Amino acid sequence: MTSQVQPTPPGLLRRIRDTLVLPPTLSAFEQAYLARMNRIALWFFWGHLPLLTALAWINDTGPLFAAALTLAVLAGPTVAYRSLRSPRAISMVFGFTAMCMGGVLVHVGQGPVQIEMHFYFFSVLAMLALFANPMVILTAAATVSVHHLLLWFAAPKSVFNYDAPLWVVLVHAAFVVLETIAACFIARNFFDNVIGLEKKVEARTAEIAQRNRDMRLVLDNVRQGFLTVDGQCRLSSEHSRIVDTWFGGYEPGETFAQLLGRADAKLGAWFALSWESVTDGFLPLELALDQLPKRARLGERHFAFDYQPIGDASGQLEKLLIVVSDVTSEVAKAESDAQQREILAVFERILNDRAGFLEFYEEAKRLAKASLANPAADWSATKRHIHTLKGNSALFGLEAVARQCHAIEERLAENDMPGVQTELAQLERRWNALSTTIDHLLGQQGQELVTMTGEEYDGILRAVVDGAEHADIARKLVDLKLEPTEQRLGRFAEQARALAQRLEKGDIEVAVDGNGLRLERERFADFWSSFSHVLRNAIDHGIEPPAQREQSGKPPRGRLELRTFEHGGEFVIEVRDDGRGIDWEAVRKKAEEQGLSAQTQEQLREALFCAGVSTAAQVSEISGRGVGLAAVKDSCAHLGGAIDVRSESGRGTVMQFRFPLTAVATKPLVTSSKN
Amino acid sequence: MTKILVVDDSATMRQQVRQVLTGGGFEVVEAVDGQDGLAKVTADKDVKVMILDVNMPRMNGIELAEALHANGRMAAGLNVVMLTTEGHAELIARAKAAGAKGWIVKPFKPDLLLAAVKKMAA
Amino acid sequence: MTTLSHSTRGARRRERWTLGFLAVWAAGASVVMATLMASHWVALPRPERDDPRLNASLASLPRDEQHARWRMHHVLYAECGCSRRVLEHVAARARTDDVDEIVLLVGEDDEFARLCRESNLRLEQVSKEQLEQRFGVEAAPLLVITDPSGATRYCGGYTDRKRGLAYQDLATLARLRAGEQAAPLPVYGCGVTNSLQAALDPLGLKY
Repeated sequence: MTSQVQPTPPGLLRRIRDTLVLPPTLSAFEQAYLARMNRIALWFFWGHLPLLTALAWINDTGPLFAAALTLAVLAGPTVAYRSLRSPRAISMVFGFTAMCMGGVLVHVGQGPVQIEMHFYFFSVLAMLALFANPMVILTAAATVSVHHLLLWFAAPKSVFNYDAPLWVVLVHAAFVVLETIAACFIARNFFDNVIGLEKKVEARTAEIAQRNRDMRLVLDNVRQGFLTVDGQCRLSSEHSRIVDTWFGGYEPGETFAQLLGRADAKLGAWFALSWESVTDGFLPLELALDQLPKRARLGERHFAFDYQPIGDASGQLEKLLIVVSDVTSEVAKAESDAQQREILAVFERILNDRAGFLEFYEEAKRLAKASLANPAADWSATKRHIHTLKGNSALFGLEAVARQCHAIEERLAENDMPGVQTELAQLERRWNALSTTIDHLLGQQGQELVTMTGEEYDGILRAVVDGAEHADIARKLVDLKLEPTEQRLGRFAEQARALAQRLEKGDIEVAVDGNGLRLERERFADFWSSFSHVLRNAIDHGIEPPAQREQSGKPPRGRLELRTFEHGGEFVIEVRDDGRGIDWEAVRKKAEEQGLSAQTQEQLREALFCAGVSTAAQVSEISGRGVGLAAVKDSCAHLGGAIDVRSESGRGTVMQFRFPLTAVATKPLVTSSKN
Repeated sequence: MTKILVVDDSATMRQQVRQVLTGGGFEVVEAVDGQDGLAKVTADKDVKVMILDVNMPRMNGIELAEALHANGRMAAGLNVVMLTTEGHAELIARAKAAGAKGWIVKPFKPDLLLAAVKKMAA
Repeated sequence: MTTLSHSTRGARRRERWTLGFLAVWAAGASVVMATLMASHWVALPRPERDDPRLNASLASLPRDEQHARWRMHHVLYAECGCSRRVLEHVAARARTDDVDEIVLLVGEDDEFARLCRESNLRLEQVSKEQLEQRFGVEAAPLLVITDPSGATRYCGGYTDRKRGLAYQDLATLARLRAGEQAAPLPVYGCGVTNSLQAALDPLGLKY
């Protein structure tokens, strides 16, 4: 069209043009609508033929002439209807036709009511709005104008004395113009809001589709998965593609619990249960949502779940947006941080107490090897090893290892053997990585160092200077390779204090007295390793929290004594606490549960050291599996020792480990010198 | 003041719950294990809400809930909320079957615990 | 493809023909309509009141000299619907005894004659040529009123708007008799003379 070729007219003109000229494309709906309207219009105008003829006959204004005139007018729209392709063009022909019909009507209806016949023009002009095209109305208005102009310019003015007052003509023109404007406006609105609606909807739909595509592009390219569930936890079909990758896709209408359940049955069950709280309405919604699973490990990946409730006006939960994030790398980072911290702890230990750490490390290596090489060979042994490794690791600051051991124990307790294998593999990886680092830190690994105090050095020097017996000097030197029990107990004391803090038992007092005794490090390695269980028991089960102690009239600080001494030809290691004492009734119950007889005090004491008997109600990382004391008993027996337990309810417990002197101390001198 | 019974063998946990609920204007009674809890709730008809640990010596939380269900106390308007660690779906399912209204995962958030008890006590 | 483009070409050609036809049709219709409109809109010529031909001709009509009275002349055309309606109006309305009314009819028509007879109107037949040459009148219906002295006091149409129902003949007469002036109303109706008809309706649609 010319308007597209010409430079854009500005402002009002442009707006008028845009109002009058419809957008060039025809929707299918408009096509169908106009086809129908044009057909109706053709019928309508053909209907004028008998009417006008009859009117002319009645009015005595020449029915034949009227019929001929009407037919001549009908020729145009009939040909246009049959031959023009554009329905809008046909409509415009009808606009012209309508005005001509008006002319015929006024002519054949001449007489006293001729003026009334002019109503036809106004009503038919309004009816043309049905074509939803302002151009049709403009065509009609233009037709009227052209006819008047023709009259004005072509009629011989010399002959005619155009007497109609000018104001009458102007009033008529004004009415036509007003109606034309209004009808154009109506037609355009009709087009925009009804006829063109489909096109609008199409455009809007296309726009929305585009926006959806953009949205999807975003959704599919973030590292988070988005899905929504309705009030029944059913998943909607819209979701990020990555969800399919992670969870293997789903059918719309499935619940999120089912989706999770396919990946991990336990997790699915947990979610389903948590969801019940969301829907049953007993708990506050906020709490119920807070208790939905937040993290999960599916295979090698770790996921975090975030929930955004979408409520309606009444605060009812309408939808829930679930944001799933793959936090595998974050978890890996946290683990690597934990490993880093472990290495730091190791480093600190090596600096402070190289010997003690070495000993722990040698044993830990042994335990790890024993549990990891063939765990299925003897599950109870594996369980024990893991438990000891857990306890020792915790004491030496290897928190990640301790946690991993705890995870294995959890799986073992639930008889989840595939889970156990997974966790064991994890432990193995961690342990291997850690031990490589430790070996590196230790440098000349396995080389035992001899440490001595200045006092000991002076003693040996004096003996040499004084010309003491060679055997005496040799014995002093051998003793140097032995470990002072006080040093060992000192380490335990330190660990015990730390443990008490962790278990909220307050700042306990630990007294250490080695009485200058020494023990052979290697022979007692096993015993010392299991000895930590005794300490843990004393602190976890024995010593009460400060508040409780005060209630029982005890000093708020718990007290633990670690001593070694010689008594009656025996070497005694003693642990004494002032806690609540052993709950023998609970031991009896547990023992009976395990099928042990627990009638006499002797049997009860036996039961206390049996695997599987623990009086702790809560299983924690620290103690409670009834494995620890059994390990102590084993290692004690191995050295030919005996255990003595005295416990007074409410007052405390004394545990003594007694070894014949032949098993300890000086003996190795002889053997070693002979060797 | 609405009376709440907290049954938990951990003094620390009882202490924590007490602190939160007393701060919220509730009267708190404590019991140290299941049997103690049963005795106290039987003796005191004013107890409106019971917060129940799962693992306890001498009758665990689920057994206690079952007992209260059986003796009709729950039907008489006692609301039971379990305190548990995450992941023990089968325990929770049992507790719910025994009539427990809800469960709260340890470690709990004080404001949410308070909101839950307020809702239960209302 | 060939058939498609062929049929498209055919449709185009057909459409060109159609557009051509429509252009001719629209132009023709416009002219016809303008013509029809002209015949209704345009006020027809009438002689001036003091036209000597008119006065002379009116004076020549037979009159009762003893009783000089007001006289209304209805110049009507037998082929003209407007003239017929004027006659029907005059025949139906109340008549005043002291006013003579004469119908000057161009052409012959039984219906007109019957109406005049029944309502006791004097009918004078005139031809188109006589009307133009003697009276100087070209269009009908035309009302001419003369006072008792025979002077023409009014020469014009019956209605003030095109084809209204409100005939002003008696009102005009009353005003003249009251001594007032009456401006001539436009004449709407039909051309009577051949020359006027030719000018009004070059297509010969109406006459």
